[in-house]
Amino acid sequence: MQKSKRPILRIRNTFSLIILAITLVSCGLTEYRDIDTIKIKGQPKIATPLAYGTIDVTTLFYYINPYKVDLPPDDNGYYSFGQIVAELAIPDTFAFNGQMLQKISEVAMHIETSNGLPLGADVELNFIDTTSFKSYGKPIVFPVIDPAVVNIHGKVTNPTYYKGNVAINRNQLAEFSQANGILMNILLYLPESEAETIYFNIHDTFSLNVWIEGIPEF
Amino acid sequence: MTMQQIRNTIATLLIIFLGISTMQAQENILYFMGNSPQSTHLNPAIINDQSKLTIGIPLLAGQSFSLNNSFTISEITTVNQNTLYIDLDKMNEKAEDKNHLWQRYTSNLADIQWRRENDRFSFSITGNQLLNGSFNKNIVELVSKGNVPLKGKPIQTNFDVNFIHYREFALGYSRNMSEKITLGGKVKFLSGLSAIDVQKMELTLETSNNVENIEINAEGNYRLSLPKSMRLENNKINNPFDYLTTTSNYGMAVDLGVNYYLNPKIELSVSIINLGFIRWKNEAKTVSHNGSFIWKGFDLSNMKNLIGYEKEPYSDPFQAFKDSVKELVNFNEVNNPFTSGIPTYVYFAAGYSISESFKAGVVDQIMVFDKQTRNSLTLSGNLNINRIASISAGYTIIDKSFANLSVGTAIKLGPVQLYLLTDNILAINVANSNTFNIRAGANLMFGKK
Repeated sequence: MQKSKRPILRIRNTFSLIILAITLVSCGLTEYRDIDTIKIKGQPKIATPLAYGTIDVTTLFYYINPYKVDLPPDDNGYYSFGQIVAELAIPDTFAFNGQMLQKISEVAMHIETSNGLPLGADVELNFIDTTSFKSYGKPIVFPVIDPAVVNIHGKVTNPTYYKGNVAINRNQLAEFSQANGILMNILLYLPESEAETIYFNIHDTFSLNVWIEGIPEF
Repeated sequence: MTMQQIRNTIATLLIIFLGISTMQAQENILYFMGNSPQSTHLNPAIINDQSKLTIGIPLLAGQSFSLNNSFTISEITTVNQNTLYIDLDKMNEKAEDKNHLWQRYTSNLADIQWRRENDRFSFSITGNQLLNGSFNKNIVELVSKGNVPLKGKPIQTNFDVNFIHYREFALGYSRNMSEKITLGGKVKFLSGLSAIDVQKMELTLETSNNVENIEINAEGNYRLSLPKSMRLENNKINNPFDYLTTTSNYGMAVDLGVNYYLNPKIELSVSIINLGFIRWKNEAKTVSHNGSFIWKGFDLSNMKNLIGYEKEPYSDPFQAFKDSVKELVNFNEVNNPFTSGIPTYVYFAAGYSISESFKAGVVDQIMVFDKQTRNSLTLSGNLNINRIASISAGYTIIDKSFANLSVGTAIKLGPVQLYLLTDNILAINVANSNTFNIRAGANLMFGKK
């Protein structure tokens, strides 16, 4: 650049050079220039309760015989039965927005139970359409839950606890995402036992807690 | 606009907001910059120019924009194959216990200074807009990791947001009391346009160890003055003219300054700027909410559905969840005028004249606003070439940010003076900078003292 003899022009040239230098210095945004998509990168793991509940003796009797629910217990609070029921299904449905599963990956269902009934249990989750009753995908089945510990008289002494989880793969998720309801089926059955009589205390319960974990996809 | 475009727009705004926002309007370099009438905005007793009459060109007298944030763009994003990823893990790594956002814009609508022997009078009209926010690390941790690793312990997140928009009308006077001492002051009449003052915004979330329940508490207390005229209708401000001429929120502030020459070479000065308040009356209200709910999932305790299909399924849990969230933010509004402060600055400065045209200076600025105090320190060298041009350069420490090089320059072409300055020239590397500010303007300068 030719040096000007006039001070005012020299200053103006200096000023221009400063502006030019500022303009030429990289703004550090080169790699940002061609962006056409913005995404969020992260793998937050989210857990939320799905269902909880307790099956008490009253509910159980309702399923055994809905017309005789008013049987009184004995003086010690026990009901006694012969082995009249081998298996008992307690179903319930609740609405579920299956489309939400399309935005989640690495999904796992967790269950935790406390079984104070002298009955074994299975818990089954069916993803269904509540109007057509169509079932999507194979049900999620939690393994056999042991009956409560009983003494030689067939009375419960200690509950059993179970904690388990089932991972749901992408194919299952695709199937389940079509559902608008979940049918939860709790199967209670008599264990193999030599006792002829089975006892239920008015305080015996089966309680469960089901929750879901997954990673949302952004 | 498609959902994708909306999402991209929101994400872009989020990046800009998070990536380049500033903790305070620094501009310390202006303090000793030669030939700069705007120095009086930092200390009304400082006189750096020799003109008898200075008129800031309307709307061009001075535009100042400052941004600062705890994160830089490169710290929280990655780019891969034309896709910008906002990286939650990186954000979590960089997040401090308390993270802040600051943005300020000021616009000199009019600026006149007139000097008569040892007296100087000034009048200015300035528009001020400020957004100040902070949030704790917990919210970043929750978003980046989710609630699974945080089971069994309560996560408390809090936000603090302040927004004010006001106009100031300032009358100033300064006088050289002797060869050694100059005193100056300004009285400012403030007219508030809108304000949002989040006094409390807390969200606490606790996921129990075995995910039996999630407990959420939300508590908030907000003070607002948002005129109807500024609300959006069809994506446009309802009535911008009415908004800009709002006159029912009044306030007062003062600037005070003193400059003392210890000897002909060394000067010491101190000032306090914007010591004042605004009383918000126009559609002023206090909004509060306080609620909590525990989400346990579906209650299966009353299962009496023999067939399983016969009854209507439970109502949609997510709808129930939404309903519960609505309960959380069940707002209680009370019309209630309130008073808010404005950012107050205290400057301590010392200058040493090495020669007639070159002065070294050190300026410390303390800003107090919304129970927060922040500090910035600038060391500068200031070259003044006659009355035609001046160049200042310096180094600034802004809170915990140490990489800030300040530059400022002013050039006078006839009666027109143009000036431009920043306290962080490195901020032109936008992706790697978390502080940025710039001030530019034009004055008409006449006569000589």
